[in-house]
Formats: sequence, structure tokens, C-alpha cells
Amino acid sequence: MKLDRDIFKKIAALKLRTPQLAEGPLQGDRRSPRRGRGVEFADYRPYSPGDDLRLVDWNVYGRLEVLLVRLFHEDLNMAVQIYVDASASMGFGQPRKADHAAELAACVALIGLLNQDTVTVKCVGGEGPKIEARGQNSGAFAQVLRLLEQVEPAGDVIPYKFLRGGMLAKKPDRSFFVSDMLYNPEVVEKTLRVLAASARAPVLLHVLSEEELQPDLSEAQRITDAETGEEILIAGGRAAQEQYSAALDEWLELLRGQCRRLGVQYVPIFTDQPASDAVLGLMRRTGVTESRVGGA
Amino acid sequence: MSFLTPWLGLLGLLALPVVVAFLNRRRVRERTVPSLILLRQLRSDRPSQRSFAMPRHWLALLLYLLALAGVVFASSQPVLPDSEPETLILVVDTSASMAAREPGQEQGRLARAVLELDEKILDSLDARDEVALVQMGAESRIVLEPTRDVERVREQLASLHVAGRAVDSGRAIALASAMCRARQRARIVVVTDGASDLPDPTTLGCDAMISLVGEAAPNLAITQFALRDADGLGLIEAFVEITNTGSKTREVSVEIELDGILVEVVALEVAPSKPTGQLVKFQAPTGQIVSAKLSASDGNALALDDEAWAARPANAKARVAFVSTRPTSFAAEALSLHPRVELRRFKTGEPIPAEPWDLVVFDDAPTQEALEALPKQASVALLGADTSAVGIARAEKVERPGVTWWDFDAPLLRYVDLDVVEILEARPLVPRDGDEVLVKAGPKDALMLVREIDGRRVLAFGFEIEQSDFVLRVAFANFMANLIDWTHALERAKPPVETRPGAMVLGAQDDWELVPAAGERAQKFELTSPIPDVGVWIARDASGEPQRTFVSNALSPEEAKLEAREGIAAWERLPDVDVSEGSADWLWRLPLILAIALLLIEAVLPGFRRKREQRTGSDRRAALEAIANRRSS
Repeated sequence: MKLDRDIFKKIAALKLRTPQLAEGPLQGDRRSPRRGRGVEFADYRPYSPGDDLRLVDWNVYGRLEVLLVRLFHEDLNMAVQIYVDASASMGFGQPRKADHAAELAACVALIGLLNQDTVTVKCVGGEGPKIEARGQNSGAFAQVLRLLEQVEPAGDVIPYKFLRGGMLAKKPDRSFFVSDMLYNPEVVEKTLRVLAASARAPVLLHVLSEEELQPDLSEAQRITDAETGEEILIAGGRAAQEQYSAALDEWLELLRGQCRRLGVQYVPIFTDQPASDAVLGLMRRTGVTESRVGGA
Repeated sequence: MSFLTPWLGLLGLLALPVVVAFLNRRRVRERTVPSLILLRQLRSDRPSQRSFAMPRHWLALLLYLLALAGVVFASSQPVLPDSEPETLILVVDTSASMAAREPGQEQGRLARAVLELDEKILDSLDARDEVALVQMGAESRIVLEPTRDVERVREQLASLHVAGRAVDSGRAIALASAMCRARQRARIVVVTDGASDLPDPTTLGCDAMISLVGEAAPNLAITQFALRDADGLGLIEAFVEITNTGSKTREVSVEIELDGILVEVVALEVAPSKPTGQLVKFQAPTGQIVSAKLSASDGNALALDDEAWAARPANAKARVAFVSTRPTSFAAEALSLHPRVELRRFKTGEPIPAEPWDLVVFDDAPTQEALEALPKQASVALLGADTSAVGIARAEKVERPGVTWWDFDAPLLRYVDLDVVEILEARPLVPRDGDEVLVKAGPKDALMLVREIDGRRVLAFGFEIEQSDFVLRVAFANFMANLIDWTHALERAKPPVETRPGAMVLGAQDDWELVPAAGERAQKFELTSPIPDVGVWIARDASGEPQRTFVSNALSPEEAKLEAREGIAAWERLPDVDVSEGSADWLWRLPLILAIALLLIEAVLPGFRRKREQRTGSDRRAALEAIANRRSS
């Protein structure tokens, strides 16, 4: 897979929007549901022996002669998981869907790493020496790039099995699945279910190429599936194009409906647009990313 | 508008299979896709039968049919009604000077003229124009009647042969003029180097132009070559004359050959002012044909006039055997004095050696064995001897018979006067059917006859010539000379007939043919044609047997001058541009160009479709983005 590194300069000013409260494993700058050390006052609780006396609110004790301990909101980082589909179908399109997906995953990973989020990047299928990169700061970005550059799309994978195997006891805050979703309907449904269960705010980045949106079906063709090797003969002509168009609409509608029902945020990504445009444009408008200064 | 080849309009029927093929057009393309998820429901057992239903396909079919119509229209060769076909009558000079090769030129004048004709005329002809071809050379004839088959004209032009002198150019122009006048639109184009005598073009009654090839070039030629006997012992005098048409004195050498064997080489300096002659003497023991070949280092444009041929005088000797018991004899003396007789004497009864004798003369009665031992070709003369050995019967003795008749036309008795010949006594011969009686005494008594016995001619006398005053007369010397000529030796010799290029062959039969005795040319010439060129020509009969030899002497001095004559000044020159007028080529080329353009348009048609498809893809993308935006909001 190939990466255009220039796009990362454009996205350095973004951060991933926290869906609710961050529950990352490390200290960060995102508000978490936990009470602990922090700077923003949250509540009082009665003093218990062993509590840090520095947290006792002595003013309240002076007025009410009650020992109360001050509680603060604890700021944590966000746990982000990015799954990149590297099956053989991702190797098609102009540019290749796999290359576009890799750029997109790198952009999301960079946004997270720049904001001290714990980012894990995993490739679903494909061929390469490594399938996973992990880090909490920008120093890990090189590892992410190496992973994405080394993996080549190949083979037929069942993504929900992979996602299920990577599920953690503690759900990450955000989970991204970058894929063309060209799987059987039952596989699509199971994948979306696992994706929905794998994180508190799952996102499906659906990569669509021009070849899928409007294939050339004007002539009769003998078509071979790149992943399964299955061959079929299709009739060409306007009727076939209309039939395909209807099938595509139906499939997209099914995908969007399942995402809506399972709580997976659906974001279409088109390969003829730069990945940076998708991150800066549609992903920002759909609330996946926001500006580091202020809200979206 | 009319069509030159309207039957080619049947090509329009090709539209039927085109339409059928288009309606059933199937293009099965092999392709690999990321997934069949969306395409599986498009599965079909056979390609679409309705692919032609797309407008683009209908447009493509229309363009194909239009292109086919254009091709059919062009193939039928439409012509405008107001353009008339033209007949071009090419008169090509094939005289020997057309073989001249100017300095720096690789090809002769005729070859260059043919190329020029191809470029100037044949390539620019309209398909309806006709071309006729007339040869103007040693023989003038119509080579090709007017035809539209240009390739055939090219073939005939390539097969033209340069030879001889253009002695009959007037006839060639007359033939062309007659063809020209018989047509409504015709013109004559004379292709020549200007060395022929051309008539005044204004007298032809037809448009005529001339295409001149070649330039005046220095040339050396043998313009005269003659032989004669210097003595009776085989010495020959040859006279050779060289003409130099250049401006400098040239050194040349002339090789003289006898039957292909070099006998003399003569070195000459030839001045340009006048022809230079040289007399050469040499011994020629055998052979019949003498040739002279001129050699010069440069400045010799024409090779055909560097050779000359001559027939050696007929001096073949006859081998004669004289058999007699007498030591002296008038006949033997007469034979020994004859310059062309090799005489050997034998005594009667002496065996005659088996040599190729031409004539055996018996002064006495021959024996049967002696006759049988003679070669078959040898003629026999019995000078008054007993003829019983050869089977010629004789009548009773007659005292003093008077010669009353003899055959004036017989070759043996040419210039022989037998009037009042005194004969003491005779035993007349008894002729039979087939005998040739030459001399008679009275109505029946034969005194001389010729009988053919076993393929051999036998001359017999009914009296002894020594017993008459015949041997004392002038007629006897003539008779003995006739006797030598009468032998087989002269008949076999068949001396060559000397002639000149362009001369008609006399004494030939209709079924004979003339072939060159040697040289590079192998083609045959009909005897109805004149002698084509210098050299030795053999006339053969229908069975291929050589019958006569013709020695064509030398090219004429006029042909050796490689410069245009004054007579051509009145002729209009052929322009360098296309001489074919009224061509309607554009009319049939136009639809052909249109057909090609239509096919190109058909080839670029997919571009329109792609634009439409891209717009559809953009629509779907916008819809997806709108949905994603709506959800987030």
C-alpha cells in the first residue's frame, strides 16, 4: 500500500470527537466519568480515614464542622481502534481502494496520536509481516505507516471473525472499520454487529470506487471474482446497467439501514477524492472529527 | 451520372450480413472484479440479444451502412456525364538507337522512355480512358489495340525489343493516325529519341505530341563491313568502316572472328570528321561467317552498332576421285584446273579409300564392288563407260548420232551448247521412270541422263566423251564447272545469305521461323517480319531443321547518329504535367473518404457514453454524502 504523507500536515489541527466521556487507559485531556485527580471540581464526599488530607475542604469544616473531601473530574485519553480491510477486493479501483483506505486510516491514526489517544491499527487480511501497530503519541505514527505500507491486499477474509478476535474486555471509545464491505449480506450483518459491540462509538468508513458506483456494463462480459475465483457471464446493455444500479442502491440502503439500526456511524468514502478531503470534509461534517480548538 | 462498373453495385448486398451481424453482435469481454456480490444477480446464460437497442449501437449501425454505401458507390466508379473518355495512341520508337545509353545513365533510352510513360501518362489515366500501342522500328505494327487494361499496356511496353533501323516510321504513324481518326477523342503520343524520320504532324488529322528521350551522345559504330576473296587459296580481304559521331579522335580496336575464332585484331584511329575505312587481309582456311567487333574504352553510347557480320564467299571445295586407266584425260585435266576441286586420281581396279568424296568420276567401267564401297553422299559420273555395273541399260550401237535436244534448264547444262557436237558412235541409254534425261539424239535415244540409285545420283553418258569433239568445246569447261556445283558438296554447304537489318527474307516458307544463331536473345521472329537486327539468323522449318542462314551485315550509319533530326521541330512536346484531361477521379474518391470518416466517427463514439455514465456516478455520490450529512445532523 502507498501513502501520500503530505496530507498529514493538513489534519494536524483536528482531533477525534469524543462520543460521550473518554475512558482511555491513560491520563489525557478528555473528560472521563471517573472521579479522581484533576483540576475541575466535581463533587464532595464524606472523609474516610486514609483519604488525602490535602483534599479535605477546610472551609466547609470551619463553617459546618463536617469533614468533606473534594472530588475532581479525572481527564483521560481515548482508546481508538482502526481496522483496515486488506482483502483482495480492496486491490481494485483507480486509485486502489486499499491505498485510499490506508491513507484514511493513517489520517485517523495521526489525529488520535497527536491528541495522546491510544491508537491501535490492525489490518484485516492481506499479506505483510505485521498486522498491528499501537501507540499513544505521535512517536508511534512511524510504526503505523510502516504497517500500512507493508501490507498488500490479498485473499478472502471474514472480517467479523477478525473483529471478534480483537475485542477487548474494556471497549475502546472509538472503533473505525475501513472497508468496501463487499461481502455477503450475512457476513455484512455479522461484521456490523461485531463492530457495534466492539466499541462505544463504532464508525464504518465505507470505501467506494468509481468502478462499483458505475461499472461498464455496456457489453456482455465474463466476470471473475478476485477473491473467490467464481465466474459468471452477464448480459451487457442498458438493461444490465439499470439492473446493477438497482442492486447497488438496494445494497447501499441495506448497509445504511443496518448501520443505523446497530448504531454504527456510516461514512461513505470515495476513492476519486483525496483522503485528506474526506477527513477535513465529510468526516468533520459528520462529527467524527472536530477542531482541536473549540468544537466542530 | 453513370457508372463504369455498375455491377459492383451488387456489393450493396453486403449490407444484409452487416445488419444481421450487428443485431446479433456479442462482445464477451473477460474481466476481473473485486466481488460478485452486486453482479451475481445479473448472471445470464447468454449475452444480451438486445445490446443493439442502445442508441449508440443504432448510430454505429447507421454509420456502418453509410460507409458501406460509400464504398459501393466508389467501387462502381461514378462519372459525370459531360466527361468523355480519351484514347491515347502510344507510338514507341524501337529502333536500335533507342538502346543507346548516355554517359551517366544506367538505363537505355527505351527503358527510360517506358518509365516516363508510366509516370506521365499511365498513372494519370482515367479508368475509362483507352491506350493503344504501336511499335515503330525495323518493323512497324500495332502491338496493342485500344484497351483500358493499363497493366497489359505496361506488360507490352516492357516486352518491346530494340532492334534494327526505323525504316518504316511513316507506316507506324499512319497506323496510329488511322486509329486516332476513327475515335471521337484521341491523341497520338510518339515516344522517340528523334532519330527516326517522322512525317509532318499537321498531315495526320489528329492531335499528336512527341516525347523525346535521350540527348546527342558520342558514338562509335561499324557502318560498313564487306568481304571478298583475295585469291583462290583462301586469302580473304575484309573492309571495315568505323564512324565516330563524337568531337574527338578516338582509338578503337576491331576484332575479326571467323566462326567465333579470332583471326585478326585491327587498331584504328577514327577522326570525327569522316568515316575511317581499313582493308584487312587474312587467311580463312575454313568457316563461313566472319564478324567484326569494335572495342572502345569510352564515348560509345550504343552497343548494337559495334558488331557487323558478313558471309564468307562460297569457296567450299569438292573432293573428287577420278578413276581411269588412261594417264591423260580431258576430264581429269579440267577437274584439276578447277579452283574448288580437290582431285585425286585412281587407276581402274585400284581400291578407292573410304573418304567423304563428293564426286567420283569413272572414265572406265566401274566394278560393282567399287561402287558399293563408295560413300552414300558421293555422286557418280560415268563418262561414256560401260553402265551395266550400275544397272543402266544401253541400246544398240548408233553411228554418228546427232544431238537433237538437251535440257536448257538443267543445272548441269547451264551455258552448255551441244549444237553440232560430233560423236563418232554411241550406245544410247534406255531410260526408265524417274530418270532425268538431259540429252537426246532423235526422239528416243538418250545420250545423257541422271538416275538415282540407292540414294546416290548417277550421271551416265551414252557415248565416250573422249570419242567426240565435246571435250574440245567451251561447253565442256562449263559442263565440268556445272558438274562440281551439281555435287552434294555445294548442296550441303548452303552458303549464308548476306542481308541487312530491316530487309525482308526472300525465298522462305511460311512455316519457317527465324532464330538468332547465338547471342543473348532467344526469342523467335516470324519470317513475315524483316531481319530484325545485325548478326547471324537461322531460318528453321516447322520441324526445327535449319534451312538457311542469314547474315545481317551492319546497322545503318543513320542509326548510329544518336541525335534528333530536324523533322521533329514541328512536333509539339509532351508536357511534364498530367496529360489526361477530364478525369472524374474526385467523384469516386469522395465517397471513399466519407466512408473512412464515418468509420472513424464510429470508433470514437464510446466517448459520449462515458460522459453520461460519469454524471450518473456523481449523482449517486452526492446522494450518499447527503445521507451521511443528514444522519450526523
